[in-house]
Amino acid sequence: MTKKRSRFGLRLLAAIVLATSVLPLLPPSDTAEANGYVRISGTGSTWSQNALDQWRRNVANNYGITVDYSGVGSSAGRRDYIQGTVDYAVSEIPFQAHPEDGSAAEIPPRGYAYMPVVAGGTAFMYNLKINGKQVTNLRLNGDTITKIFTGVITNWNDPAIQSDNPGLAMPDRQIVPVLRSDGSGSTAQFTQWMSREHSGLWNEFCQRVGRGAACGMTSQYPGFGNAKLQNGSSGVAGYVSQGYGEGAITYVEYSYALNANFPVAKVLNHAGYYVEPTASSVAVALMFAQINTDSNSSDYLTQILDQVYRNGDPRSYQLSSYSYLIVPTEVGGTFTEAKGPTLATFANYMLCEGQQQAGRLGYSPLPMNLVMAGFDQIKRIPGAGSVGIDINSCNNPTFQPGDSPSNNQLALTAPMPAECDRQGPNQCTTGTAGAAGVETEISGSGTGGSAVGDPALAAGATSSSAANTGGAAVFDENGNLISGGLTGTAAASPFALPDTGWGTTQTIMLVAVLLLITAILVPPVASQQMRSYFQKRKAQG
Amino acid sequence: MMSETTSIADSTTVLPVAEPTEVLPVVDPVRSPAPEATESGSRPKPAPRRGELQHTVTPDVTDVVEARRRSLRGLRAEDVFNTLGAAAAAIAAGTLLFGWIAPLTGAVSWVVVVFLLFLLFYGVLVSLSAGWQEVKDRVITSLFIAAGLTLVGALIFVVAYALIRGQEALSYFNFFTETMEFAGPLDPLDTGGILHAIIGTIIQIGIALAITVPLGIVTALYLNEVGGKFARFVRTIADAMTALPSIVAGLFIYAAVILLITGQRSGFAAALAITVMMLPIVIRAADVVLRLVAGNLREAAYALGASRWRTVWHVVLPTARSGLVTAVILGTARGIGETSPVLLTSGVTSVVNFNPFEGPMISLPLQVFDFVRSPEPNLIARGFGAAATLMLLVLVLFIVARVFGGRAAGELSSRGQRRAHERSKQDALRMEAAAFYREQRESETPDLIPTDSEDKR
Repeated sequence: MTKKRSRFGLRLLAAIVLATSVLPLLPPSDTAEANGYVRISGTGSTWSQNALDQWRRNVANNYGITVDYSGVGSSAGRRDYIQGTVDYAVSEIPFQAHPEDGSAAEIPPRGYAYMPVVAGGTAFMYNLKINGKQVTNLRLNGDTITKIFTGVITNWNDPAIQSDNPGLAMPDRQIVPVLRSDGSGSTAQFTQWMSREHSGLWNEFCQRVGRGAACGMTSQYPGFGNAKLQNGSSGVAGYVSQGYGEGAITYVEYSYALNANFPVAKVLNHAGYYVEPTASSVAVALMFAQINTDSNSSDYLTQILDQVYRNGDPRSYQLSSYSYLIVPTEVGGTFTEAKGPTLATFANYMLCEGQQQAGRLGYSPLPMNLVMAGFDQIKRIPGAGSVGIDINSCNNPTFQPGDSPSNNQLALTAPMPAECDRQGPNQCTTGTAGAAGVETEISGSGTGGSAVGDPALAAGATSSSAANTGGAAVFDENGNLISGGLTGTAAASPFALPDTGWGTTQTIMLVAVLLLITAILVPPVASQQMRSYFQKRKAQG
Repeated sequence: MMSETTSIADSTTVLPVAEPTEVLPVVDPVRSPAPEATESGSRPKPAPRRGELQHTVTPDVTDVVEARRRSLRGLRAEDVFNTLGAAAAAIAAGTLLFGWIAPLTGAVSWVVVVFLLFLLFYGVLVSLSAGWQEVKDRVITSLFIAAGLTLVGALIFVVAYALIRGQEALSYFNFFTETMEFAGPLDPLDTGGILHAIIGTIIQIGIALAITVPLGIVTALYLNEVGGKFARFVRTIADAMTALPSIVAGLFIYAAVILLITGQRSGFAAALAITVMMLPIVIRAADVVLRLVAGNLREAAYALGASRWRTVWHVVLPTARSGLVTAVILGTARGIGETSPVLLTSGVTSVVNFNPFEGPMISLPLQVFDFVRSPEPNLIARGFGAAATLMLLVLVLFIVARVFGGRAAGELSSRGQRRAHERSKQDALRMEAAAFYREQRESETPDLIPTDSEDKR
C-alpha cells in the first residue's frame, strides 16, 4: 500500500521534473520570429496608450512584429528605461534632473533619444446646464482657464466667463475643477502651458498651495479649495459626466470627451478665434513646435512649445503637445542589437502609416517637421541602418512626397474656423467633441451661427439661418428679446433660486410631513382605543 | 420528527412498567440507527428474570386527546398582513412625500425614507395586537433582515453589473478563443479576445498554488504539531502578512526578483508576488482548521505507536482535509483577483505566452484594469466581459475544488472505495497465504516456531 503510494508520488515527481525541463523547449515567445523580427516590449504613458495599442495591433497584422506595451504611467516608464527592464519607453516629459518628489535625478545609464510619437491637445471637458439644457458651445480664453484651475474664478456667472460667451446666460453655479490625483502627463502638459503663458497667476497659485515661488511644470496637480481630485483620465471624465458633476470642468484627453458624449471648451488662440482641439487644429499648432538642438543642454532634443502657444494661425489650438518615444541609442538592459531593426521598423510605422489613425483615436497626426525630427532619431537606434527610412515613402496624412515643413498638405487643407468662432458678439451654437450633434440655444445675446459646414447640421440650426437672413435679434441682459427678426422664438432668461438654508418654507414642509404621518397613524390607534373603551363600558353596564 | 415521536412513545411504554433493571433492549432509533438494523434480527431477547413481565404493553391511546402541535417557525397570517400592509403604506406614503409634499429627490433616498416609514408603520401594526416586547422584537428582526438583504443585494448588484455590462463582449465566441494580438482599440468586438489573459491567469495561479499549498500547509502543521516559542513568532509574522498591502508585495518582488535576478517582467515574478499575498491566508486558515482536529485522535495514533510524521499523514491531514481545501480556496480567491502586485511584476502583453520565465504574461485582473482605463467603448465592454469571465473562472475553480476535496474524512469516492476494496482483498490474500505458509512450516518443523517469531523481531 505504501509502496504503491510512493510509486505514485515518484511518478508525479517525474512528471513535474519532465514538465519543467520541457518548458524552455516550448516555442520561445521572444526569440527570433519567422520574419527576422524580435519581440520588443515597453512601458510608459497612459495618455498615449490607446495609440500604442492600435499600432501594436497593426504591426502584428502587417509585419508580424510582436510588440508589448504597458501603460503604467510616464514616470514608471522612464524608471523602467533607466533600470533597463524595457526596450523603449513613452513619456510626456523628458527625464527629470530634479524630480518633483525629491528623488534622485533620472539619469539613464545607456544612451537614449527622444522621438515625437503621439500628438494631442489638452481638452477641457465640462458639464454645464442652463435651464436644464446641456451647454455644448462654451468658449474660454487662456486667462480664464488658468483662473478657474487656480481657484480665482469660482462661479460660472463670473464676468470673465460671461464675456467669452455672449450667447449664453451663465448660471449662478459653483465651478468644480476636477483634477488628476495621480501623477500624469496631461497635468504636466497643462501646467507647463500655464507656467509659460500665465506665469503670474500660476506662480501666485504655487505660493498659495505651498509649492514654492515658481513651481513651473508639475505632473502632480496640487489640490485646492473646491477642486475634486480623481484618479486617471477615466476617473476625471467619469466624475464630470455624472449627474452630480454638473458645474464641473476638467482637463482630459479629447477622446474621453468624445466617448463620454460630452462637449469640450473652445479655447481662444492668438489670432482671436475660439478653437476646439480637433486633430487638425492640434496638428496646425504643432507645425510651430521647435526642438532643442543644443546637444550641451540638459533638454537636448526636447520640445520647445512657445510658438505652439503663441502662433497667429487662426486654426491652431494653444494647448497642443506631444509625447516622446524614448529609444535606446546604445545596447544595454534588455535591448540587444537584434532588436534594433524591429524597434526601428515599429518607430517608422508610428511616424508614418500609424498617424493615419490618430484622428480616429482622439489624437492628432504629427506634422511634417516633427516626423522629420523623429526620423533623425530612428537612425541612431543600433541596428536601424537596415531599415529603409525615407520621408518620401512616408504615408503620413499631413504631407505628401515633395512637401516641405513650411508648405505641406496640412497647412494648405486644414479648415478655417467659422466666423461665429471669432472673438466678438456672436457665438456658434454648434456643439463640440462628443456632443457635436447637440445644439445649444441662445440664452444670452448675439445671433449664434454654425461652426460646421455640414449641410445637415446647418439645416437643423435655425439660428444659423437666422444669422444669414440678417435678422439682427437684440436681447437685453436678461435675455429678453428687444427687437429683431426672431419672431415667434421664445427667449427665456435663467434665474437661480436663492439658497437660504432653513426658513419658513422648510418648516411648513416639515409640519406637512409630520401631519401626513399623523394622519396615517391616528386611525388605527384611535380605533383600537375606542374599541377597548366601548368594550369596557359594555362590560360595566 | 416521526422517528422522534415513536421513540418517545416506546420509552413511555416501557419505563413505568417495571424496575429500571427490567428495561428491555429498546434501541433509540434516532441516536443509533445502525445497531438496531443489525441487531434486531440476530440478538436473542434477554430472558426475563422474575417472570413478571413477559412482553411489552402498549397503553391504550384511543381516549387520549392530543394537543395540537404548536408551530414555532411558521408564518402566521397576521404577520403576513402586517408586513404587506406596512410595506404598502410605506411605499404609498413615501411616494406621496417625494412627489408632492417634501422637496426630496433621488431613488436611494426614496428607498431609505420608505424603509424608515415601513419600520414605523410595522411597529404600530404589531402594537395593535401585541405588547411592547413583541414590537421591539419584530422591529429589530426586520432591521436584521434588511441588513442581510442589503448585503445580498450588494453582492448580486456587483455580479449582475459585471455580467450585464460584459454581456456585449461575452456574446462573441471569439472573446474566449482569440487574443488581442490582432485587435486594437478601434476593432469591433468580433475580433480579438482574452484567451491570453485566461491562460496567463491559470499559469500564474498554478505556480502560486504549487508554492503556496505545500509551504502553507507545512507551516500550519509546524505551528500546530511542533509549536514552541518560534512557532508563536511565525504565527505573528503570518498574521502581520495578512495585512500587507498588495502593492507592497508587488514592489518587493519588483525590487528583489525583477531588478536583481530576472531583469525583466515575467509570469513567474507575478506568480511570486501573488504567492506573497496568498501564503499568509493559507497558513492562517489551515492553522485554524488543524487546531480543530480532536486531540484524542492524535493521542490514539501515538498510543498505537505511530511516529509524528505517520500521525500527521494518516490522521491529522485526512481529518482536516475538507477544511484544508477551504483554506486553499480562500488563498486562491485572494490571489486570483489581485491586480496591484501583478501590475508591477507581470507586464502587459496581447499575445499568449506559455513561458512564465521569459517575457510579459498578462492575467485577467490586469487585463480588466488595462481595458477599462481606455476611452474606447469597445475596450471597456471587453473589460467588463473579462471581469465576468474572471468571476466565472473562479466559480468553476471553486466547484472543482469542492467536488474533489470537499469530502469529509473517511468518505471515499467510488474510485477510492474500489481502491480500498482492492487493498483489503489483497490484504486478505496475503494473510491467507501467510497463514498457509505458517501452517505448512508448523507441520514441517513444529518446535521451531517460537524461535522463528523471535528471529522476526
